[in-house]
Amino acid sequence: MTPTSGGAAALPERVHVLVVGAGFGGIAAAVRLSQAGHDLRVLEKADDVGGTWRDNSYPGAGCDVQSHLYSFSFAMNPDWTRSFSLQPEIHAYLHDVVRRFDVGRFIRCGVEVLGARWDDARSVWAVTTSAGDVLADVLVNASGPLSEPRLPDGVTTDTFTGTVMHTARWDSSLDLTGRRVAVVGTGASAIQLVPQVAKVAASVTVMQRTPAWVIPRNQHRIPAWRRALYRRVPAVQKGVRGAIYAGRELMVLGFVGRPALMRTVELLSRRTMEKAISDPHLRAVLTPRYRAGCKRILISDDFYPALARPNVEVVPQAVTRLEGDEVVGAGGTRRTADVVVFATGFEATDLPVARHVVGRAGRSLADVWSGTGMQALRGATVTGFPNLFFLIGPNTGLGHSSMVHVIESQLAYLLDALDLMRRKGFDVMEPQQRAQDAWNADVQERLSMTIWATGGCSSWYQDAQGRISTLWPGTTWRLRRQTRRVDLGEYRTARRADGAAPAPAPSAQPAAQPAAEQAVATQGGR
Amino acid sequence: MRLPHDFVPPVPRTRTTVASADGTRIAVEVHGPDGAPTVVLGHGWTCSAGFWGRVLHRLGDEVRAVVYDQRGHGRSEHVPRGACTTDALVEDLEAVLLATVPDGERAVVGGHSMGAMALVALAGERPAVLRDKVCAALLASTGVGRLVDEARVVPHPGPLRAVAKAMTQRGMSDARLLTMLPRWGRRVAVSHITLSPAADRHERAYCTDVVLACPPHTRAGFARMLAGLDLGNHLKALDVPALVLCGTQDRLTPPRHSHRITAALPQSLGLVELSGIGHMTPVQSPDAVADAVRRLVRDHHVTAATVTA
Ligand SMILES: Cc1cc2nc3c(=O)[nH]c(=O)nc-3n(C[C@H](O)[C@H](O)[C@H](O)COP(=O)(O)OP(=O)(O)OC[C@H]3O[C@@H](n4cnc5c(N)ncnc54)[C@H](O)[C@@H]3O)c2cc1C
Repeated sequence: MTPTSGGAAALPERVHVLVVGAGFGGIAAAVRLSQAGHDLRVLEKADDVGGTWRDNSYPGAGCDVQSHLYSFSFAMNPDWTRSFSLQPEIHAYLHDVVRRFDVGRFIRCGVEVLGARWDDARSVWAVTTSAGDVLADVLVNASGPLSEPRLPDGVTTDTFTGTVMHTARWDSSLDLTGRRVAVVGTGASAIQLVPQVAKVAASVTVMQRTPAWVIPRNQHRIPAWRRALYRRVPAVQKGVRGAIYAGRELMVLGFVGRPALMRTVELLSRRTMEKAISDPHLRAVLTPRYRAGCKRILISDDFYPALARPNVEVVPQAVTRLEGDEVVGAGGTRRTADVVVFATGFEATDLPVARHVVGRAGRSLADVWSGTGMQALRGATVTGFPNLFFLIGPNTGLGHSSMVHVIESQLAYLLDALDLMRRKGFDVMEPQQRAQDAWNADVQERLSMTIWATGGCSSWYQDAQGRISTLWPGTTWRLRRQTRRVDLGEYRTARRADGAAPAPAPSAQPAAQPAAEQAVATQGGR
Repeated sequence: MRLPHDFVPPVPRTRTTVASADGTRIAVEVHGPDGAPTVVLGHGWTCSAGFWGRVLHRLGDEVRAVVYDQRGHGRSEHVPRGACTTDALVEDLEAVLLATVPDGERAVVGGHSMGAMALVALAGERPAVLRDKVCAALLASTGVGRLVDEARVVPHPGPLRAVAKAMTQRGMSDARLLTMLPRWGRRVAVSHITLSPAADRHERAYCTDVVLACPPHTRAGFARMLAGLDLGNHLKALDVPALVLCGTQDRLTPPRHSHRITAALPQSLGLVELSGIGHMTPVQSPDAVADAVRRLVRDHHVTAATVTA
């Protein structure tokens, strides 16, 4: 793997914008904010940048949105070797972006943000980190919606004699050749992992709580001549990116507008399954009983063929516990295993940072959200938490397209806010309760008609109360339009009480960028 | 089409493989609690262990059910056509019985169609295994010979008998014929052959898929074996209480087979005739099949304790 490109930035006493996390979100923030001349630091708790794409290094890990689209508009990569890149290539891409835009000097790895408290008297965020305290005028949470591994509730593992792993904490030194492996889960990670494990393991037991609708990925290699073309004529790659984007936006029709359209997906999924699996009993076990789209629609070319292998068994039961050398299913079924891999996803609705961010009234985000579920204005700002911005905030997740597009939309919103602060001379901005409530009422009303609410399933899109606080109910285009500019009518703004000087001007001027990259428009459109 | 829940077989408590005499690996599933009476069930031509699913759901935890995939079927090892013989089926069943029926216990052993033929053949060729491992038998929808002659798959108005017979034999053993048909054609063909008109759409769809899941060369290999089958002499060796069961609309093994078998068995418990039902009795009449199993367990099962007492 490429050496860490970010990491050495010193931790000042005070910074204008402090960004938590150096995944796609934090890196994009470093690029765009430094280009706009803002003083910033990015703190990353791990010793490398990359977030999702540093952590998810299990065999087969890759993205489910075509790489042409799942990458920054301001840093297109003509060199993708596959239509859907695998983790090492995406991780390398992020390193490359850090290098190309020379933002390593703003990123400090190995520093964890432990807590942040809004100091109303001084109008700053007092941030506690593992490397000391920092004051920040603006706090940006880019700590990732899917970064904290989740284990299924109530599953006890302490008496298990074998090895237990989570897909997002993969131990690459572990050789699965000839081992008996149990994979818990049949979600997005599991379907990438299982085909790879099945090739080498003696046996694979797939513990399935709920089956998924799976359609072909149509993974293909991008031939060298195409890559050369993209390199020479970037407009061609832009065109491809635009076409992929448009095609994916059409899928929103099915998710949001007409759930009945999802029958087409189901038909395609059934055909795919029938082609790969002849055994009707296995097919029946794998056929979901909810409308496609309600849970994430998965894409794979090799999952069903892997399940048809003689060394693979699907046990349609949730796991209750690991005991001795066995995995015990909800029906009492036992299967022996040397290694158990939890491909059980992440704490999507219970963000760890929320517990450590304390707002104006002395209450933590988690506390404020405990009754209402995660709520923000335009997925970005939260009443009671001045100058706090989210990248991938509440209700900005997607079932159909690239999260990088969302990150760039939210960055445009943040940049506009920072720009307004600078131009209009205020230091504090906080969304008004009424604006936040109206926004959420609208989002929830639109959500109520979507497949996620009506499809007859439960999913990680929903919080403990069954409220969907993760997904955006519409096109990404609509989200972009609604977050293009900050509407100050939705905010309460103020000057810093003591009139104290704001954070110093950028300590390091952004280095000159290659002309082509600098020319990319702020909106990151196509 | 979404099949009703009970078509999805219950999750086996354990899965193992046992090696048959020639080394072929036979996939075995065990359902139900240890300590409950053991019941071993053998499926028929072109089916698989999951074929017993509807019956297993009904038996629940009452019995410890052992179901296995015949060689070449389901998860068992695939074999060349030449290895599809009655002797091989006997060896497979023998290996399963020796591996899964606890010492001292004698199990109720049931077979559907070819699975029952394997049991009859085992009685003739492995009397010691029958004596040590089998307490009672269920012979469902089966025959012991003259299978092509008596099948009513192709209607045969008098003079065309020979033609009908040739067509039956050809249709059964041709590896590709079925797969060459369009989807609906397969369903019509399989339903006509294996089910009665009373079958519902789920049963039709399910049986079509089951039959098509069988590898064509396995289907062809065993078709040849079935065409030449003659186990008439072995029936008298099946000297355990035995219940016979068949559907009145069975075209593959019409009821006259079952009548003859019932008459020839040394310890016959009689014949259960299911009116209006076709060949796939465990699918079309799972309640009746489960009841038959229960009856045999209740009246004849021999636990280890009973033996030592
Ligand atoms: C296996 C997998 C596949 C995916 N595939 C796709 C896809 O195909 N398309 C798509 O659009 N999305 C995909 N996603 C979603 C993906 O998470 C987002 O697209 C995107 O990577 C999120 O970037 P991020 O920067 O917001 O968060 P992350 O990449 O999670 O980065 C957050 C960073 O913050 C750090 N951090 C967290 N807490 C702290 C703290 N307290 N102090 C300091 N640092 C902290 C973390 O260490 C991490 O490095 C996938 C996710 C997974 C897990």
